[in-house]
Amino acid sequence: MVVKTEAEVTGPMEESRLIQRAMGGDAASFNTLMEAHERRMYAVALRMCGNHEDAQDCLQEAMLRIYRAISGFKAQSSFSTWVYRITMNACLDELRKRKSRPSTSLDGLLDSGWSPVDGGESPEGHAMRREMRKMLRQYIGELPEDMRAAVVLRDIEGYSYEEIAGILDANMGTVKSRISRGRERLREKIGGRPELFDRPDV
Amino acid sequence: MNCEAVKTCLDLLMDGELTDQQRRDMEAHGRQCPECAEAIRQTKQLKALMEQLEPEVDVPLAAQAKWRGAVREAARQSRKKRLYRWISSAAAAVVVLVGVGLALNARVAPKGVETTQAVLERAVESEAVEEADYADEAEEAAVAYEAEAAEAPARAPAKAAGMSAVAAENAVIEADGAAACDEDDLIEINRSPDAGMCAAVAQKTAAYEATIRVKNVDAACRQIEDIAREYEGEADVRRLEDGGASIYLTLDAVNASDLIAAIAHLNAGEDALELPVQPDDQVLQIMLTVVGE
Repeated sequence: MVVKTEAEVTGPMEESRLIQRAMGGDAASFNTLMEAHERRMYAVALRMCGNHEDAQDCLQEAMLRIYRAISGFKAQSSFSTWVYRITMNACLDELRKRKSRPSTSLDGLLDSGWSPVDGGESPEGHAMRREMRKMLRQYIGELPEDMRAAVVLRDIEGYSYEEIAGILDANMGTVKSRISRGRERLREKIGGRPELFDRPDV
Repeated sequence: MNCEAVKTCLDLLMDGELTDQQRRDMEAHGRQCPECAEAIRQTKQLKALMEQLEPEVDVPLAAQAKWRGAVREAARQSRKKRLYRWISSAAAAVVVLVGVGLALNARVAPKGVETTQAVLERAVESEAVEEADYADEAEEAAVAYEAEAAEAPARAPAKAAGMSAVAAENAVIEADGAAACDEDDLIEINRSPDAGMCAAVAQKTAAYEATIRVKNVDAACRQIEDIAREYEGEADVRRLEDGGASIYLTLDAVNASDLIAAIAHLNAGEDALELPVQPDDQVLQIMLTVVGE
């Protein structure tokens, strides 16, 4: 069995048929439709919240909002942009709500579960790379929310500047400057930890 | 190129849209300006690191069940609401009709009211049937979903398709005396028929990584070393700066499930430890990260 990507599950025809049925309140069609977006939505939520627990809440909230709003979805805009805009808003609302509470643990950003690794890697190299990824996730988590959202969408999720402007409901200039400043901050943070990041052997 | 132009180039570099000419100009400026050289180096590093973070992640089964459950509930609520709206507007119509009938005191009124009631009853019945249909549908969906969830472990080998590739790459071809080779393990390799000296044994090595959370890292490391010894494996323990540890386990695949069960026992984290061991895996290398709570 092959893990299906977004494009494979929902060709434009299949997607619009599912959207039509979901608009009529058909929960089964809605589920099928959203399965194609679930993994990326969760990844965005996880990068924004920094832990699995909050990411799960955000995913649920985003799915509910999409389900309730889908009958008003205008077919002329991209469904995926619309979906990620709602997901991002659900995350930002959740983060604002949690601001009054103690900051969430960044431990949830650890790699989890079993996954294949490069068999040729030394244990030290492996541990260092894991540590670097962990620190980078933490630094991303420390960026202001608007900046974080733009950087995550661009540098991890690979959206174009135009798509990001659509998702964040901001103009291109703002998006570009947020991404640029976000990257600059990340560079500074990485530069501040040469003992971890400047290792020629890793 | 000046420092300001380099700044623009850094974003193009991150975006993977730097032209060769821009790259050359940028590097040339970097040779004159240590500050920009440092920024260029850090940008390259950041880009490489960012590329290691996954754009898609596996959604935990709990999270999948959670949103599907919430949507199912929302669908049920909105059906109910629609039914109530129907009933209340129909009831209002009855009240109006009765009122009109009484006011006119006409002979036809009772018949009219009866008819309206009949219509209302039929409407409520048909909504109820629809609701029942929907309940069936929801149940089917729930069953299908559970079936899917049950299937998930079975899917693990498929998910690990990438792993098999790694395993294949890692296949250690050991030249060995023909006498030592089990016939089943013989691999036909290109050799002249009269060489006849040796066959190759492919020892299929699969590598995995996992993280466990424990209360006491020291104790857990000692226990894992003991467990590894018990199952005739090797454990190479390295302590990390942050108080955790990185353990490099090598063991025979036949002992894998017992060893995993023993390690899973130590894990206080939420993520279940499941190892997608393939039937033909022979040697397992496990990169285990131990994190203190």
